[in-house]
Amino acid sequence: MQEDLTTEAQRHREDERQIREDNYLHSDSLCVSAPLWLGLLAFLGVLTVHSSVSAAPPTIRNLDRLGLQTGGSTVLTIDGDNLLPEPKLVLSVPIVKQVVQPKGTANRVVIEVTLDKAAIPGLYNLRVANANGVSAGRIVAVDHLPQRVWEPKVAALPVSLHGTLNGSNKLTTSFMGKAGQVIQCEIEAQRLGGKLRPVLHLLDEHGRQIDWSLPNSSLDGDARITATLPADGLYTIEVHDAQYAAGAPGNFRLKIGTWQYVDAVFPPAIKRGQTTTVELLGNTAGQRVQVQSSGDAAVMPISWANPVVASGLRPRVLVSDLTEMVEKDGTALQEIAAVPVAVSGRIAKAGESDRFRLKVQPGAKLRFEVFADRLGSPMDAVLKLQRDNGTQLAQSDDSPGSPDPLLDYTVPADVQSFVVSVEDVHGRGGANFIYRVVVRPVNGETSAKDFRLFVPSAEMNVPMGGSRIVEVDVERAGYTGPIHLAFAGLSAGIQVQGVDVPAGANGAMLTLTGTGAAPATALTALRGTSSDPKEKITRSARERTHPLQKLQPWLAEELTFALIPKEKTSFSAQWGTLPADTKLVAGSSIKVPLTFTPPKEAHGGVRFYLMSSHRPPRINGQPNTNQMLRKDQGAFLEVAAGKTQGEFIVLLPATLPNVPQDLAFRADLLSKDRARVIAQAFTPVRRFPVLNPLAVQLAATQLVVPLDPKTGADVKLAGKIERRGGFKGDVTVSLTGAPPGIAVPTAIVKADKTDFQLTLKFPAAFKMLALNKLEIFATGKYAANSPLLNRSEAVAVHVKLTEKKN
Amino acid sequence: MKTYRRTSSSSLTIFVFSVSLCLCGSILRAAPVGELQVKPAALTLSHPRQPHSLLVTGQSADGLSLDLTGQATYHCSNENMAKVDVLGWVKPIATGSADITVSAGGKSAIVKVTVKLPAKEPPYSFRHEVMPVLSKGGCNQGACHGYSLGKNGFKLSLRGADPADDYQWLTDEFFERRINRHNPPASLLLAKPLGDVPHEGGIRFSRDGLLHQSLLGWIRGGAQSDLDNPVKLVSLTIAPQKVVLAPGMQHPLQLLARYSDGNIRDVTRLGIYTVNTERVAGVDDVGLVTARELGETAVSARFERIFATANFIVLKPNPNFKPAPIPEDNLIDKFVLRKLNDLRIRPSELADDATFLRRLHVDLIGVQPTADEVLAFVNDKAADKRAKLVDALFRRPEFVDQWSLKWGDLLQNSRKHVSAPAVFALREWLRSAVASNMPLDEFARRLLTSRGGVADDPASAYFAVSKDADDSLQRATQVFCGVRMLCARCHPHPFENWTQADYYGLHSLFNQVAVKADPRLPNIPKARSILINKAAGYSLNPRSKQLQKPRFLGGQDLDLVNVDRREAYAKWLTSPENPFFARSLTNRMWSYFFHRGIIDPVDDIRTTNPPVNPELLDALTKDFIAHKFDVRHLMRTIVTSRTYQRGSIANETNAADDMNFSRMIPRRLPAETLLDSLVQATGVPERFGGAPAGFTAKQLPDSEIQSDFLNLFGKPQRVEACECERDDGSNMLQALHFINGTTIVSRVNAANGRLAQLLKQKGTDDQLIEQIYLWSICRQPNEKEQQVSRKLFQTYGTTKRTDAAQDLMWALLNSKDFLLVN
Repeated sequence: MQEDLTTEAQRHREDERQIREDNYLHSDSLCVSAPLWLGLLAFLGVLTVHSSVSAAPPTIRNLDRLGLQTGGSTVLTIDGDNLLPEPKLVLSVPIVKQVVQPKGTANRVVIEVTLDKAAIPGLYNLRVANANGVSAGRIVAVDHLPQRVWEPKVAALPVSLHGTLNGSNKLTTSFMGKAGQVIQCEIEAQRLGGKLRPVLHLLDEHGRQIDWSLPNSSLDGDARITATLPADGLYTIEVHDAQYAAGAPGNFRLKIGTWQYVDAVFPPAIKRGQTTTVELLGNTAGQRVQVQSSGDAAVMPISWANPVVASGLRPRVLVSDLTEMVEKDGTALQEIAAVPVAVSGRIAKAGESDRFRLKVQPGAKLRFEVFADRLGSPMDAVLKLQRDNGTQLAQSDDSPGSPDPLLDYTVPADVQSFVVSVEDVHGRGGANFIYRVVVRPVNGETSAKDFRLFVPSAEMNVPMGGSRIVEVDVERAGYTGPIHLAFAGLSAGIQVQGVDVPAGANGAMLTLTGTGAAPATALTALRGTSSDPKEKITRSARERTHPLQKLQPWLAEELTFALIPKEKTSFSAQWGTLPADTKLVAGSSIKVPLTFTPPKEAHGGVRFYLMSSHRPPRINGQPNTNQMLRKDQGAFLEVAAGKTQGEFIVLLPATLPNVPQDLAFRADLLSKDRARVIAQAFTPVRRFPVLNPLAVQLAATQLVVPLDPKTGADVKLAGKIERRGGFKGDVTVSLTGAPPGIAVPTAIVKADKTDFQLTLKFPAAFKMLALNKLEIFATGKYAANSPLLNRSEAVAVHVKLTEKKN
Repeated sequence: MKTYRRTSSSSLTIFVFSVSLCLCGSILRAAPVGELQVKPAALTLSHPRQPHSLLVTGQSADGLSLDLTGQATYHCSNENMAKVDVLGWVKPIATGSADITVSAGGKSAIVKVTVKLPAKEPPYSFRHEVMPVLSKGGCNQGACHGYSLGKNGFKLSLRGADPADDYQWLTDEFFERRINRHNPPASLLLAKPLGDVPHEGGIRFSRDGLLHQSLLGWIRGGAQSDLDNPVKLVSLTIAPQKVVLAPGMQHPLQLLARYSDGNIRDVTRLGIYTVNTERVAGVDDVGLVTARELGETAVSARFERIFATANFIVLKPNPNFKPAPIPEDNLIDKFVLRKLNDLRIRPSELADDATFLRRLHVDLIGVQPTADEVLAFVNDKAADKRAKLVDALFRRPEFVDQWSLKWGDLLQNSRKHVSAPAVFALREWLRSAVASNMPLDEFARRLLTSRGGVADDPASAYFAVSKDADDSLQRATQVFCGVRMLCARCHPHPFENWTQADYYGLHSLFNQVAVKADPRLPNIPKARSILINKAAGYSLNPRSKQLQKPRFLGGQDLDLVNVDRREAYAKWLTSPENPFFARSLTNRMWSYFFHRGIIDPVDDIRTTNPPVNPELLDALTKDFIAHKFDVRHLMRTIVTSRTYQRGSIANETNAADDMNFSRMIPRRLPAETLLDSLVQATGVPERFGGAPAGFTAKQLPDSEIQSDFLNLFGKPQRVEACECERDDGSNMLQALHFINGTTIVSRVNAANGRLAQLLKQKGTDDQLIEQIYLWSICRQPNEKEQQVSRKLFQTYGTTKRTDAAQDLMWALLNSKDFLLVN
């Protein structure tokens, strides 16, 4: 067994090496053809500094098969746009051969693809590249099954049938079965990025239903039947949408026959840097594989037990930096390590409740997070905290948008350990009812620190001699420091500028410049690394809308570059003159001079749009416009034909965080009738510091005041207001952190004044003698019509009340 | 010959009786054939205040029941022991024994009487003598002092549900003003119902009558309480249970109460009587039934909280009737024909092939057959073609549509109550259950024990529909037991012995159900997940103010701790021994193939609503259980019977019969069947806004899809778990819609419709006429119809052949042959 595991691990490492080697595909005959690619660039979020009319990169509209057979040939028909000339598939599995069939058009090409038989089964991004760039990806499956377009009767099993369902349509197919034969029928639709919510029915030759399946949350909304056929005869499979309203794309594939699948692994998480044996949960009958965690990824794919007969989602495991424990089945009450810690377990039988004793610090604030549904477990987990004597302290069932519990809990003063129990809220159980509980402190040094990076598109087509801008969003979770960005495996012909995300910033803009002389295509990844050596965090940027970003996150992290030929026509835009020390004053506005060089044939003027790295808070999923950088009126600045410069007034929200912001402008060159954009250009990215125009200066930040037992005490907090960056108006000064029962004072400092005094009145019976939470702040409007108040940084003041003796 | 009738307080009864004597004198004077029947044959009297009646009956030569009680003469061998009056009431005098000779119609019988009196007359029992008086007098009915707030300051428990409260209110309230212990006859409790003082309820007792004497005696005895008396009423029997009369005849009832100490008491004069169908018979307040029109009805009697029923059949004397031979190979036909023979009814002949074909299509798959199907079936010479057709229709996809629609209606699967994903998931679950012929016990068990969200268990949408535990228990009992429990939530059921203890016992079986927002369907309105809180306590009975232990319907209190009590309920419900489940579902299934259930309404099963043919229902139920709740087997049994296959044309004996299945009663097609059949006939599909494209009316997920047609023709809205929600009635709007609306006209005139296709075919007028008949009403025209149609075509001429064809099809689709299933 050990030998098997070692072999599997070696095979896995070899697979990984092969993938890395095959990630770099080169095109050898690029040329410029079609002129309309500007709209696509906007869609991709990819920008150029020098840009104009250019051939558009290819797009994929439809694939007749969402699967490729390993060790065999699959004839793939691709419908799309701009597919010629010389299209090639870009895929991170070894392609032995791909032959473009003759008579292809810009809208349809047929490619016969032969994959290496050693290609690892799973789902992959498939892209089409040609001389004009690389297309957006589509998800395709790779396995040993023959891949066929939908047919009403299947000649031989196993098979993978590819079809499309829209609206209320139904599709049926039939196959001959034998009595006692075990048949798997499985739809992959949602997992392939489709909108079909599949329902499967298996009928015998009399039309009587043998089995059926609704969309299954453990299959990410897809459906599977495993049935033993009752008799020899013709069997029919019917497929339709769960609400008879399948959206587009309704592509799916139906697998019929037998194969090996893995829905989850146990334990679902392993410790980073360690080699761990995990059990594959599926129809693999308890098979185990050894996993060596490597790299920085939080989730990694692992090997199949038998890749030759495997199909479906690649098995995956979480890679953790925590102490990882595994439930010992059958143990009534298991001791677990001190927080932070994670425990993986399984509710093997109906009605089972797994219980763990956890030692805690009284008063500690802890977060208990259960992962079950997110692991593909059918569990609807419920988590309970109990005292050792069984008294329940807290319970959590669901968290927003998820059946997985999430509980923040402050340990009572008299509790030094408690029992954590996990069970299915419906009392169910089974081999795949797995879960993982993570316990962490809510705040403090040991809190989890993390961040995530997102790019709007995974495809970047950079012209030779031109540039593109990649917008990077940063979602921070505890980590606030700078982040260094770097592409892995970037082609030598592309240079990158702006690789640092400032501390506290939630966005940045990278500029990619095509310096190479030969067209090329490459798969890559954008990695961000924290600057704190104590808290080394590395995360890969992913496409936010990738359909498999949760199930197979490495696919969402797979980016593609294409170095494309230089543009024919030049149109450029530049910043005008701004003082070198220009700062963005929160709550104010800034006039930005812009210049541009239109081509001679331009007659329609130019529109400028603002781009920035600032990501405002969202309301109902949409950016809060009051808190975003924006133009003073409308969305753009339009400069009439014949002119070569303009002035863009940028409104700066009062809540603009005090971190450097990247700004750039997109310039659209309009046609004469101003109905079309005929070229686009972009200014370079500039980074500006942010200035808060209000500041508070206290006369003293430490006060000691006697508390009279008869009359109490008046604590006077005096100071000055500093107005910066042209702020002129009235300012209100107040404070936070006043103890309960004490009135909060405010003071208005007129525009021509700077001094203020706040008086806190404490009664004689006041008991709290040390006030360490007081913070003074000032608010005011930079402009009278501003929708938001500027607010200064808070200044802490410590007040100590002493008992006055008469 | 002297005739006597039982004493009645109603002069109207005497009048009716007199009239009936005139009408039916010949019958009454007819000598009985066979033995004289006297009930009881022997008599033991053990209470000085409890006389017992003798019921003397016979049978006429033509099979009618004869009441001879009034005609009979009675002679007691020892009048020192017991006395018998002219009405046959035997009163105990002293301990001993005697023989009573009963003579009538030239025949006689002897009743042995044993008297065992206590040494001392027992005191009046509040529980057993006063409480029945309050019920008999109507004092505690809902319209009087049984109203929840009482009347005029005096409240009694509704229909005597709570003797303890009643005793308290009678004896203690308002400083005992209702009881005058010093001068009992002057008690307000007597003065009011006697009319001695103003009483809004009017005069309720006759002076010195039984009711008056009972109350007075109790007060004279000190108005004692015997609430702790362990003797309880156990059962109530009514005699005779089955009576056949001619219009105008009368028949008395005898009501006997059996107590837990073994005592049997004649409570005929204290029973409260109602008749289910007053058109057929009336009953007076001492249980004298008067037959009115031809038909059949149940007469119910209530004493204290228990009910008993007798079946009265009213028919015309038919001395020439020849009973049909009883087939022993078909359990349906056997019991139906036995009953019809009793009723002197000859069943109608079997329907022809085309009629049977259309009926079976409509009933089993909810759409009429196509022209080709009609011709193929009619021309098929196989002897077993009807039986084979049943199995063929089981395999049709429309079979799944039809029966999942019925379950969807019953289970109230609607977006009114639950999310769209839940509606579609439950719909799919129902369809799968029908498609795989899931046994109904498993079907019910899986529904009633479902939990989680629809992704965990699509059947859980059943509970998500419920508003609360009250809704759950009412839906469950109504659908799976055919019993309506709503009344018992607030007071004892008026027509059945269900109390609030029964209601809250059921409530405790369902009150563990909790609901949370379905976490797998975030942000979807009404998406719910069903949880079970095993630690939930029992429900509070608001009447007793006590926690009510779980109790199955008609069962005893149970201790069910730390378990899902629904599982216990489902196990009890689906047990073959369960008295409600298989019986009610068999009855419900029967109703889908006839115009009514054997018990009707099918979801109002109670003692006071007995089956019209209990032997038939029992046999079918037994067969259903024996076949493991296989609903297709039950359907096959029903539709292959000759009873189902009978025609709708009445003969001279069954024209008035509409409840004994002697012929098929024509019914209007249900809304969905009507529309789908119309679509099939005309070849023009219906487009439902908001529904998946291509869905037929039967396939619609719920009634949230707007359709004026379906609403007009009574598609249920799924707000109640009641068959009554579906309106299969006819009205003027429906007729106008068919005549003037576009539903038919636009389809008949459609350029790409069926008729347009038929017109394109080259054929004679006769061939076209036949096709129009086949598509429209699923049969070929008879000779007369062919002639009339031919004349129509001739009148229009060849240039207006299309108009003729359209008019003919329009007329046929407006005919009863299309609108009704015959």
